[in-house]
Amino acid sequence: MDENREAATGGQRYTDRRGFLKTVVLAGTTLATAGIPLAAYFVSPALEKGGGRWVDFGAVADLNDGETAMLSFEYMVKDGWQVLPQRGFVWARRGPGEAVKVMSSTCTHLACNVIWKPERQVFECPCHTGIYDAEGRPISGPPARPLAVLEHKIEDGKLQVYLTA
Amino acid sequence: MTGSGKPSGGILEWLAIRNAVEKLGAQRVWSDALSWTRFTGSLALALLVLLCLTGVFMAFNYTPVPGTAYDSVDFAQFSLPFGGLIRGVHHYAWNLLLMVMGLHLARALVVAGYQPPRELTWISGLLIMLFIPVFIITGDLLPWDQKGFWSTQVRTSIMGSVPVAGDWMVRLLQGGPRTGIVALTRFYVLHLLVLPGTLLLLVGLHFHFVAHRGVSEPLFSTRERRQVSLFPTMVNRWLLLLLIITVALGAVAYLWPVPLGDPADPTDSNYIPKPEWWVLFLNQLVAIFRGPLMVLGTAVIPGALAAGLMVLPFIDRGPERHPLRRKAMLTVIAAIGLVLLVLSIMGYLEHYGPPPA
Amino acid sequence: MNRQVMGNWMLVLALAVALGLVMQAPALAAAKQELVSAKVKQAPAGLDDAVWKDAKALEVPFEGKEKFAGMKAAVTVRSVYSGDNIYFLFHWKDANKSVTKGAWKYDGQQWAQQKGNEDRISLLFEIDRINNFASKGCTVTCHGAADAPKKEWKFATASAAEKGDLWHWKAARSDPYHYAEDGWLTVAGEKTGRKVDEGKGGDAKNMTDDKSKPKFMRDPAKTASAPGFLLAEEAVEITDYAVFKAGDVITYQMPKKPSGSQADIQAMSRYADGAWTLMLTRKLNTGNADDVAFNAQKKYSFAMALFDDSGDENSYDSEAMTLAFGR
Ligand code: HEM
Ligand code: FES
Repeated sequence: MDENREAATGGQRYTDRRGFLKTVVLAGTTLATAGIPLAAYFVSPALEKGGGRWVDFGAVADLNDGETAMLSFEYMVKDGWQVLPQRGFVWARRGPGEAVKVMSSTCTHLACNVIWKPERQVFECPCHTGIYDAEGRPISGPPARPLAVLEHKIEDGKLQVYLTA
Repeated sequence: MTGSGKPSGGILEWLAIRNAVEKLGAQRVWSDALSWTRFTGSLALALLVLLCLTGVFMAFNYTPVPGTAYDSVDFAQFSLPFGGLIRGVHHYAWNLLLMVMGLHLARALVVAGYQPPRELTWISGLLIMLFIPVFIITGDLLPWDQKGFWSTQVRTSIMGSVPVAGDWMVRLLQGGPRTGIVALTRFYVLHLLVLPGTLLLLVGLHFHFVAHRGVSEPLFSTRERRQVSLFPTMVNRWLLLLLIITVALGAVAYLWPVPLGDPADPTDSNYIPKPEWWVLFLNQLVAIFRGPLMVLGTAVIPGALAAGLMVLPFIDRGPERHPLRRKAMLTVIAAIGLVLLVLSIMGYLEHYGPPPA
Repeated sequence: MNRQVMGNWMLVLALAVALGLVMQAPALAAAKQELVSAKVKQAPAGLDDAVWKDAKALEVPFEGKEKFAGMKAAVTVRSVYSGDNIYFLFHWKDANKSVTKGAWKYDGQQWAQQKGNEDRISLLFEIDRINNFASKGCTVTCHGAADAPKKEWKFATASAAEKGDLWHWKAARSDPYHYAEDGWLTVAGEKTGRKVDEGKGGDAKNMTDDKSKPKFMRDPAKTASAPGFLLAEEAVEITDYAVFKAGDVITYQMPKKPSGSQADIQAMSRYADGAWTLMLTRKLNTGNADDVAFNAQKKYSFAMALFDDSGDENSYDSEAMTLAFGR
């Protein structure tokens, strides 16, 4: 068998151990030299963590006691090399008294926007008819978890909500 | 590992590539295919590999949208690790590729490497060569900077001056009358998809003919020609060359960072792009022939040059290869080369020299 | 390695270096003016520091507009960077030092605000690319309907995605605290697109509710840190107007102590021999979202405006220039 191969290659050994080792070393070095910069270049945008920010929603006094209000926001976010507006809304409820609760409008099922139905005092999700009560607890339909409660603070009478991403 | 002269047999067997490796190992190529006097082809290959590598990675941080394209290149170059180096290597690699291909061609002309039976090797090589400027022209617009944008205006207006089809060709290339988002998207797809694909085919073709028609015998060496194995001996030489050129271009890109000009402003017609070194002669040709003769400079002469090169193997059929015994042919070639050089120098002085008093 | 392969090494290296040199030489001949910030070991300690000799001076021409239409001005600019900071040195001729900014003057009977504005210089950089700023300069930040009066035009960017960094040195309102106001530019709101950076600063108006006289005077308990100016932090309410005599002058717009991102740009100035000399210092990268972060590898577009004892519309403007960093 081996003899046949040797004949086919003109009497030379068909595998050249030193040559092959050289290939491994050279290929490895080339790969490292070119690959490390390229890999770093490719990976580094992934290291950026999404940040959050306090968004001003105006005077708390504008919220009526006991009512759930839709508050819209728009802010600019730098996504890699492009600055883009992020738009959306949150639900805020004032009362009883001075207490304020801010809830995300994102359905915990598959992320549609839930809508407040004042007549029935529930949040309704248009996508798969998930229903949440006024506190954001799921009542019926697919959602299993309550609407996310967003961190907020009141500064100089203005409602500030912490929004991520 | 049986220890019987097939050291890596175990791994190769395991990877099921033992046969392939052995076949490769059995391939013999002339040792001088990559040597001191014949290295330009291999160097061009190494540069193409580098261009593809850096290009693909740059594409991860690139968006072909006017304005945003500039922001993405700016971001990649200055905000990402090695961003400047990667763009720099891409930039210097295509500049060096042009030079190396010029040498590759010049050498073949001098030692008559185009003669039968290597006609198709020559023609496929010429096609690659004519192809590279299309890469450059499409790539130049991608960063959406002033230089790329206004150079594109110059190029499309030259193209548009070609009688009958010119205007239509420009609109076809740009996908409309202006250099905007449609044009940028076309240039992008050409540069990143269509051209690399076609180039791969052409390079494959070129190598196919090189493998089957062989390389021409050395003219000046009296040493006996040797054969070496394609794998690993020749592959090792290629790898070494690739490693060296990677490090060398990396060093050049580090020492002389490539500039990123101002973002393109299509309303700023004050900006006058300077032709790059490799088109200076063409620019001069375009400048010399004016009015109705313009087509001479823009299409006829360059076209005739390319056609002349294409048919060369059918005119000078050999077998005489020594340059001193092909005086007539070499005189013509040298004369044309000289004219191109003089035109380039004139162009250089006009665009980069001191302003006329 | 055998000789052939060695040969390849040499040839490739030589080619690569030649390539670098060829490419470098003509590069992009800039039609725009370029200010090169020289890299220096020792930061400049002041206006006359020897290190300024290492920085190449750029003579920047300015064209006047509105009140100054048809007139020209010139500012000599130098820049160096060292460690974390970048330094700019400006020198321009100005026949009068103007720092009045409507200061109160007492004539023995009544208080009245003096005529007179202040000298200012400002720089605009890009935080997020402002469309065509690099080619057209500050003209792209001027917005208004074609038929609207000039007064109603707004200084702003065209979209919220474009963001400028506005450095604004004011001889009467920021210089007393040795800084330049640090603001930023975005789309127009109700009035302009000008915003001040995060933090405190600016100035407070010194005026009684009936607008007839100043409300504050220097607190006698505090030492005056900026002679000639009443700083907001060193002021007390006037209880007895009888202490003033004819000719007394009191600052109208009292500088407030800057803090936070508003305190990023330090200033050092001198008016002598009919010219202002001003040094501005800032961190290359302040880490604040309302500031341009300088990367010494990169080039930046910027433009300047000069105000000679004048309000916002009446200025001398430069064209767009390039700031580059020496290596
Ligand atoms: C023969 C091969 C190639 C040539 C001659 C070439 C030429 C160019 C040129 C002239 C530019 C303008 C940028 C500059 O020089 O500053 C450019 C940019 C670019 N090229 Fe290529 N290229 C080649 C192959 C490739 C390949 C194979 C890819 C990817 C598949 C690629 C991706 C890119 C990208 C993404 C840019 C834009 C980024 C930038 O300008 O910095 N290139 N190329
Ligand atoms: S997404 Fe809301 S119920 Fe499915």
